[in-house]
Amino acid sequence: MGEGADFGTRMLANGSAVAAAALGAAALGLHRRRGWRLVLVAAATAITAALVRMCLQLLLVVYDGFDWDTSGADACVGVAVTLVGIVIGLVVMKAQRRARVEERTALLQRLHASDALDALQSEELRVRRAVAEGLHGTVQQQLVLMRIRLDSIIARMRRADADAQAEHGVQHPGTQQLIGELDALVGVVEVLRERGVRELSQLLYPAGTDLGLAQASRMMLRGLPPSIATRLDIADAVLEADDPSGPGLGIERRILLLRVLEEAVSNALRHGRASTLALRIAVERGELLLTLDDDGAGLPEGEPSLHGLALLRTRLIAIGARLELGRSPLGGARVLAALPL
Amino acid sequence: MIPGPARAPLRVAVVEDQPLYRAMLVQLLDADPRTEVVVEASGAAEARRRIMPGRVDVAILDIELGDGNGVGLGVSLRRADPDLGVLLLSSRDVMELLLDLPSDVRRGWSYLSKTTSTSPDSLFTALTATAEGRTVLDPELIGRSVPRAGSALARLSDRQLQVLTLVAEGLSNAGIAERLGLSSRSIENHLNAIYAALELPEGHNSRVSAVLRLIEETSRFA
Repeated sequence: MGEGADFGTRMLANGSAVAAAALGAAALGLHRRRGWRLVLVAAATAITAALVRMCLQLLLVVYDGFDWDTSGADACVGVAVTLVGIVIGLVVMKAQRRARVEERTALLQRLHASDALDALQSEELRVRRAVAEGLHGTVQQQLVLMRIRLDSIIARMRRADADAQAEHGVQHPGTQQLIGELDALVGVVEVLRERGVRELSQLLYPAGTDLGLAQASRMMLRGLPPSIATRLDIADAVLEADDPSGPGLGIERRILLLRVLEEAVSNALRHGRASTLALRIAVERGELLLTLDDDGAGLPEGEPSLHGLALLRTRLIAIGARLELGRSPLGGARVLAALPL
Repeated sequence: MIPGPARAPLRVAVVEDQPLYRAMLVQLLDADPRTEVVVEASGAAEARRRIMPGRVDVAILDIELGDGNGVGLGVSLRRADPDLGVLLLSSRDVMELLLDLPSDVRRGWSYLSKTTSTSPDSLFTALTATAEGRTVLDPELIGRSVPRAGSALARLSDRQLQVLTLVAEGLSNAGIAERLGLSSRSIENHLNAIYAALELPEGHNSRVSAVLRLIEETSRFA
């Protein structure tokens, strides 16, 4: 070994050999080869790299004089090391490629799942809306018409009965009973129209959803018993942020917030036994904030129970929103939903 | 806006997307000497094109139009013609819409439901009152409303609530006096007491504001 060959000179020769191997592999398209072509190209690359290294060692006088045995053995070691390097490189590259493919596949699957979920939600909303409108329109109208017809039949029966009494001085024995039964039927139809249809429709699609969050919230609170005091504070910015004549919040996000309000009101009345509810809807720092305070029993000690809000919280988080529970200045619980705009 | 002493017929625009309902409404209004339909439109875009400022006294707008919302249409028509009265019609109970109207157009808006027992008489009363800048609410829906606990409305006496309900039906002071068998002076006193209880400043808009409180501070709990 040359006495003057320092560490830097040796590294220069070895580094050049590695660079030659890398350049050779790239130029010969090693990563694209398969089978015997791969073996051939790998061998050619390894031999080239070993030769480059040997030539540089001779030029830079790494060894004192030329010795076939030493140089031949060194070249063989160089070829072997390069081949091992190539094999390791190919294995790593293949693993990375597989990881990239898997990542891309997973991303595509997530995208497809998200698209499918969106389509499903849109379809669900469409069907819910159609059924709700059908209940409001067709079914309600049919019930109104049925009531009018029943009223007309009752009126005719009463007139006929009055005529019979005037002309013959007697009442038909069953007429009054029939009129009474028809009256009762009118009552049933009216209850069905007023409560059954409306409540069913509300379950499908919160009333006023298409008119914006502010309207639908007002409509939800107006249906509470008069013994419950309510306070509403809806900022003008909310009317602008959720203008139903424009894109607004979008029907899905609006319904989600209305379901949160519905559940929060229900919890306040059922579990908290509240007598006062204060709803505030505002826009602050790019977020739409819906806050419901109550004067009920408040949250139990420890981890607050979410009741039906748990599922809604998951859905809120999925769209980048949040749900918080805490103590209300009114003495009861506070539910806050914050939705980024 | 306000018809003169000769009582020229009210010029009415009917904007309704259901052809049968629109035709029936137009027929009803044209058959009455108190009203004359000057514009008939099936949608918001057509209404915006055809309702010219100063040509219509009251616009009857269906809230759910095929190409838009009757409330948004009413706001833009009113801004173009500050004297225009707007009567909203809906097959749903969405009276709360009146609460979110911009303050510059809040006067002279009324609401009647298509599904309650609205009679032709109550329609004509509502049209006249709306043209005069008053606010009329659906009598049946108001009849079902109960003042909410803790609200200023809940502090009104039965008589005061009765007077306010009749104001919401579109009756003038004289009309309320006649209905209740009281003097107009008594009705004025009741109204002033109502404004004070609701903490409303006396003025032209107090009447409208007091009527809107009937929506805001009541429950329609079935």
